[in-house]
Amino acid sequence: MTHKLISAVAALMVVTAAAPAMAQKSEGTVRTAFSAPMEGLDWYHGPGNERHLTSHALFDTLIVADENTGKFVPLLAKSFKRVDNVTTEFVLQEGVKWHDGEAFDADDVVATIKFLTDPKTRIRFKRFYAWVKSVEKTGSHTVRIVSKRPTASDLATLAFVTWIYPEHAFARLANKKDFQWKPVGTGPYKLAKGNTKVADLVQNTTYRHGGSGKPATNVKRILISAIPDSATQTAQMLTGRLDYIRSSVDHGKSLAANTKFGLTVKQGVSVIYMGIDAKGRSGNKPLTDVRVRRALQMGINRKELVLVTTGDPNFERVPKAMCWDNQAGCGYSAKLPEYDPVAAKKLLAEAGYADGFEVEITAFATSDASRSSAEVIASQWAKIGVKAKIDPRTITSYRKKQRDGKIQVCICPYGGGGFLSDIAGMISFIYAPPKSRDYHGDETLKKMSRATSSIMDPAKRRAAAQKVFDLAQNQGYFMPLAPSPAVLVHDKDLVIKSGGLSTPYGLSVNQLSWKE
Amino acid sequence: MATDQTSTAAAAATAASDTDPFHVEPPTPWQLMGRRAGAHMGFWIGGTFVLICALVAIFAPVIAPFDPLAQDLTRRLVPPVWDEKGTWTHPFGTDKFGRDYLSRLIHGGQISLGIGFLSALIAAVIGSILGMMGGYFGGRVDAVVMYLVNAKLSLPGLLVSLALVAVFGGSFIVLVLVLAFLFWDNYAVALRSVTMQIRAQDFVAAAEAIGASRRRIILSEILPNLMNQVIVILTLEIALAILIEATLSFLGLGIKPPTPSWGVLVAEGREQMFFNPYLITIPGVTIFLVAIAINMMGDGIRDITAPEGRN
Repeated sequence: MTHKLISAVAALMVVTAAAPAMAQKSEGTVRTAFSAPMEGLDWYHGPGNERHLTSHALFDTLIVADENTGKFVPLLAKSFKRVDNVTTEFVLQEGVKWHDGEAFDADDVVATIKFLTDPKTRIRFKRFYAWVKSVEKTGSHTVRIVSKRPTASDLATLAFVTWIYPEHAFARLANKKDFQWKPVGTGPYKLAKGNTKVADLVQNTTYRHGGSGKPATNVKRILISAIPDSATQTAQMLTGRLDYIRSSVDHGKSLAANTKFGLTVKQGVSVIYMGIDAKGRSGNKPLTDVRVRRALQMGINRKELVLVTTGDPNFERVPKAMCWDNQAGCGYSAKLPEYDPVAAKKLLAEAGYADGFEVEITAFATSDASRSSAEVIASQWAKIGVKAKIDPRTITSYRKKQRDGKIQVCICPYGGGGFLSDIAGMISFIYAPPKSRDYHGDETLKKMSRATSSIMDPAKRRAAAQKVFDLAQNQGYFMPLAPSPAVLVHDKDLVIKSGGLSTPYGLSVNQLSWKE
Repeated sequence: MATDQTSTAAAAATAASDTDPFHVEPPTPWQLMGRRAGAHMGFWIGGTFVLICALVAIFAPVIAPFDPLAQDLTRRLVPPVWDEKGTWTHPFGTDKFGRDYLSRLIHGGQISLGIGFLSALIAAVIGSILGMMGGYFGGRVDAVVMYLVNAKLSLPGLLVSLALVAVFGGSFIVLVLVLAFLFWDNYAVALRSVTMQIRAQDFVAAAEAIGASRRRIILSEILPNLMNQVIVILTLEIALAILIEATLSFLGLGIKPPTPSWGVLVAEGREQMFFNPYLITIPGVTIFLVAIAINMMGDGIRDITAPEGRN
């Protein structure tokens, strides 16, 4: 009876929703919602997953990874070549216009790189650009970027996280953060209206340079609303006010049971991982013992986590290390510990914690995969005598707690820092963090990580990275737990291209299109 | 001498009642209360429901069919028994982690009712002491008490508790203390004015005249006359404390998961409310019924113990 009533209400909602959804399709508009607060649209000043999407829509990079092959292909650059081990030359496209009509040229590239490497610049992932020694304009449409030393991930950095900003509109801004709401780019969409509640992106009709890496689609307008509450997003979806949402697995499956909606699950490089305070910053002493950390790892049944994060216990793309096999530089030989609560208890007893201990798990409140994984782990650890409480935090609050050194165990999502086909983001973020985010304190690991980045030979880089990943795994600093796919519920007429590279957000604007 | 006179008067009264056929023995205050209680439907309904909930909460480990934290991911989101797919193994179904919802509700009651009762009790102790001191001593003591009450009343209660819980964490003890801090002023204000009225009564003057100490007067003469007010306020504050605990937990600032409280259950159920509405309906209705029942019981106690001021 209850189900019949719910079905009837849902059916009524969907019927009333059909008309507006049809209208959106005919106008080529896609409406969606962000769960995270909209504090700006550019990635440099707030490197979140959602801003990766908006930056990708508004701006372009010099090169881009081809969605199908993963190889770097030109975008704003017409061509590029390595002059030597530390120098790369880019010939830029001519005739590209900024959203305000100004012409794009080498000055814009120089100004952007100089901003990113300027000691006065304060952005979260500034270390991604620490390898740049200089950038020089060699012609109106040619630039050279010189590295301090050979850097294996230089092209990946330029392809994934180096959006070019206009010299005339950005470099002259006294407060660079103002650009967050006044973006001028060369990307396929330009901002018509933007504030903390809504971002209205309209198609850039002069966009011709996307090529195979970033082709334009038939979506003429993307309307993004800030709706932090997932239940409200679901209600908006049911009543036809949104065309797609990112959802939890359970929600996604329930919504997609309706024939009006489709479900697309895209697994990219995002994972749910466990980080442990091995350094003892939080004051939880047992965690500083490697045997305890290993025991905690052995107390986790990852199969259950995969079920919770993907809805499919046989999900094919499951992480085996803190990098993915298809990422450049990914190497590992250490195997993740098998679930063995008996051995875990034994190890805890050996470490002097036969009766277990208390621990606090910090999770991301805005990530269902993170929160759900934390809940499952808390239950699993109870079987080895470890009593866990969960502290779900918003991203801002999480970062403060992280800086304050209060995180004991983190069950967090990580999207590879935006690097889709290279380990550079993971190496930098996880193994060589700045002091405020350093919870392992292992100087050897940091040294090895830094060394990895300057090895140009792919095989040798992979071998060096293997030592880094193995050391971190064996010491129990980090452990990948489960994939964290983007579960996208969408209007059945909205096509979300599956396969290819999946961004931290789950999709790029050029992967969206309406059925013709 | 005095004893002899009293005995003589009592003997005379007994003799009069024996001989006077129209003499009716007046009911004692307890008898009067018993009669009023017997006829008060709200008191019985509310009290019975509260008593059952309290017993279930106290004996939760014995009554609950499953461990409230034990997950069974193969039995996720099993609907409640009244649904076509429901089973009696899990009468209220299971949540997204396969945890038995009835067991979580029962153990959640232990937390929610425990916080409600303890915080209201601590607030009662603090507020009553301050109220009686202000009302009895007057002067500077009263000025200090009223200053504290005014300071407390000027604070936005819920916002302050949100801030306090955010700073000190959402443990059981912190929640009890924060909610106690939120409620003590109601007792202080009410009991201060009642104490002032009682202090002016003849029996207090008589106690002072025979040289009774202040402590004895407060504890033996005044406090017993305040108890019905204390109990009435206590019951109302318990209901309010349960609602605020649910609010804080719903906002993610109260009891931390996976420990169940009714607020935590509502928060968790909200995510599923379109497709598995029982997850939010069951704890929501429980909170509603308990709050109503406690209010009915409190109202009943008020009617039974001091009906004179009642319309």
